Amino acid sequence: MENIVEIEGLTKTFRNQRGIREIDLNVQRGDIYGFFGPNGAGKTTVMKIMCGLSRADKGKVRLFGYDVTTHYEQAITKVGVLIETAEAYNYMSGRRNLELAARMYPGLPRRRIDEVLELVGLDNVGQEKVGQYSLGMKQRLGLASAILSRPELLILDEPTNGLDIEGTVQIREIVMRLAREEHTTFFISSHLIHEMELMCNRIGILYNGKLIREGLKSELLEGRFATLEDLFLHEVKEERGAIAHA
Amino acid sequence: MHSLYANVWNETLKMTFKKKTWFFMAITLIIPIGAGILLANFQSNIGISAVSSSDFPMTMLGLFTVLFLPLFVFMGAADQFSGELGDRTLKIVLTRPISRFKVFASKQLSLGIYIAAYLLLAMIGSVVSAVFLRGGLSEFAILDVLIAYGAAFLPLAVLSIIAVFLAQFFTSSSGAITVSILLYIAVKGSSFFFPQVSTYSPTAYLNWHTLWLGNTMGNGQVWSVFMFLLACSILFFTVGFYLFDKKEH
Repeated sequence: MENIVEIEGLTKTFRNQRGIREIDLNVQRGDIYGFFGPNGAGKTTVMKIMCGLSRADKGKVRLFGYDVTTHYEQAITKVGVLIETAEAYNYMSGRRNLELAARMYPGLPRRRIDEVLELVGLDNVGQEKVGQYSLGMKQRLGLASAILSRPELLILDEPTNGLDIEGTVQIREIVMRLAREEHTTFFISSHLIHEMELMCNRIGILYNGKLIREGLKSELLEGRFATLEDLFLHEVKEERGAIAHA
Repeated sequence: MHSLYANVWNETLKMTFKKKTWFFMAITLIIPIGAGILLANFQSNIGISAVSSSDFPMTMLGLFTVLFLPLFVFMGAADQFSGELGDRTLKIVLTRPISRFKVFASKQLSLGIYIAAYLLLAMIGSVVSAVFLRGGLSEFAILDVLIAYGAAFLPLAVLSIIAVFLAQFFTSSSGAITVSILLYIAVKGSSFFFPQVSTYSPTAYLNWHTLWLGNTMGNGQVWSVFMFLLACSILFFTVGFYLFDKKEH
């Protein structure tokens, strides 16, 4: 299978000495890759470097074979991004926000805006100013904006932030549908481990800036763990023990 | 090039959707018209023509280039860079298929479009107002007005590049606007006490358009000021982009 995300030796250290160290991972076409880790483990840092919002001290990120540092435009063309909270221009309507985004993709039909608004359940409020949206509505708009260009890879950092139960389920359904019908590849981080278990086929566990476990979900669970939560807690406990021992 | 063109269009539209842009546009149109009406009444009451109709558009341009338009330029630059950084909306465009250089350049170009639009409105307002004053405008005077308002674009564009450079140091538009205005006043004020400052300050050439008027246009002086402004714009654009490019979001 083709690797559409290749990360090699990714390292970044912040002033407080926290950061990420020597991250190596690959995401294959069609994967739904779940990226786990406790708060502050470095998940968002990795994702920000992947989409050019931040720069690594060392290491490489290639998307579709293009280095994001040297060939950013080519690397990001087939990628949709939702990092941390979804941001939008509050003084414009949701639809106008999407129109601005759509202009960056030549040949994208205007009806696609209606499609994505309907898909995320914002078709009735598309004309309202984003300033009047709730946090959950903004998150849906962020997702609509990320999937607008029919990307082949979606990088989603905590996509269910601010969503209620119904919204969370809806996001899961959208992810599953895009993976099934449009063969979209996903790289998702979420603290909702149950949701991730239902969606992901491949997982990576990040702890203290280090990728401590990575592989196909089925292989990692392999009858030893009943749930992803058990695996996660086990890996984190082992890593903590190793750090304490060292 | 598509991404550059698309983002120039987007940045221009974004400013259009802000109420304050329309407010500034209205002010730019209303000030010369209001001033023209007031001046016409005042002059007809005292019977002396202090400002002729042919001088009026130039007088207004002097006022705009030194006072109002720098303010609008500072606000536009602050909104587009430090304001978006503070609102965290800058990452919307940074995660699209467009390089950081093109993002930076497109924001700068859209500021240029707005400067041109402000100057056009100010010119329309001034020319319309000249009708209220005695004498009207001759064809030559209209040509002078066109040349002067056109020439005024360059120093304002350079000022916008400097304002964009300053905006890179702030994460809120209010901070960037305040410091830009204070620095502008300081540089303008210091030239009264230290005249040599004005030689090396791009803000001293906001009245560059006056060099283009009349028969005594000094080609050498126009050229040297042009080269100085060009050098300033290259310098501040380059350093501004360097600061923008190394920012983490």
